[in-house]
Amino acid sequence: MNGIVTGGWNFVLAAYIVTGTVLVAYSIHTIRELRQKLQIREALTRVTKGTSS
Amino acid sequence: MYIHVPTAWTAMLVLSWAFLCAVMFLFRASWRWDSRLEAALEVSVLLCFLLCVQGSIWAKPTWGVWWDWDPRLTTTAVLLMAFVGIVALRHFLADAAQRATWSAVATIIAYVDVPIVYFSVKWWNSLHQQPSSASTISRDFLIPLMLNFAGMLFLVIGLMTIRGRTALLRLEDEMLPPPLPAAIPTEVMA
Repeated sequence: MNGIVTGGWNFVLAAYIVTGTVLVAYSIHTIRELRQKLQIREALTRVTKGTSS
Repeated sequence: MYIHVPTAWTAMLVLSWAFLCAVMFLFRASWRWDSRLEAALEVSVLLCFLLCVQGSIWAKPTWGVWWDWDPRLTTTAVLLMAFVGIVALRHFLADAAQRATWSAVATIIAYVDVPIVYFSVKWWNSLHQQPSSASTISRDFLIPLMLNFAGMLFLVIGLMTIRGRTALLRLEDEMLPPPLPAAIPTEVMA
């Protein structure tokens, strides 16, 4: 016994996979949400300009 | 260690940023600070959730259990629940001014748990190890640790910037008078 935990690489891999999956999923969700908002904003601006002219 | 510690450091910074945004909103009453707060709250929940999951994965091979009601783990779980509650509160309140004020006050109250989480391993007998610092870590370990921390910090800053912009656009939509039904294109309505 030297106080060092050996092995357990499957746990290390699991921690990286969970973290990577959560961060990538949240990044995709956040970028999509902003793009959707910008598209709606652009469409409304185009229509408002069209009706006012 | 290379993923759990950077997540913990980043979470502490984001939680402190959320606290600062809440204080600034209450002092300045600016919607920009509310949108920054919204972004910081959401990312805080994400990081606290990741901390608990990573800690649980780390606990199994080292402590032999997935979870233990140890002071560090318990106070982190309380922090996660508190911030989940604040995010839920923001979803339930329809009035923007009420939502911003209540969530700012709740954030300041919930932030009290952050120093308790940090000092929990010093104040009470804990299974969790003492906080790591540059002086307690070998240089061979420190370089990859700091690289991971920098990577996670940049990612989180980017995510908060994008999320904050979305929150600000939604706030602008809420403040503006609704457009005439005839002016809304059908593709937007669908």
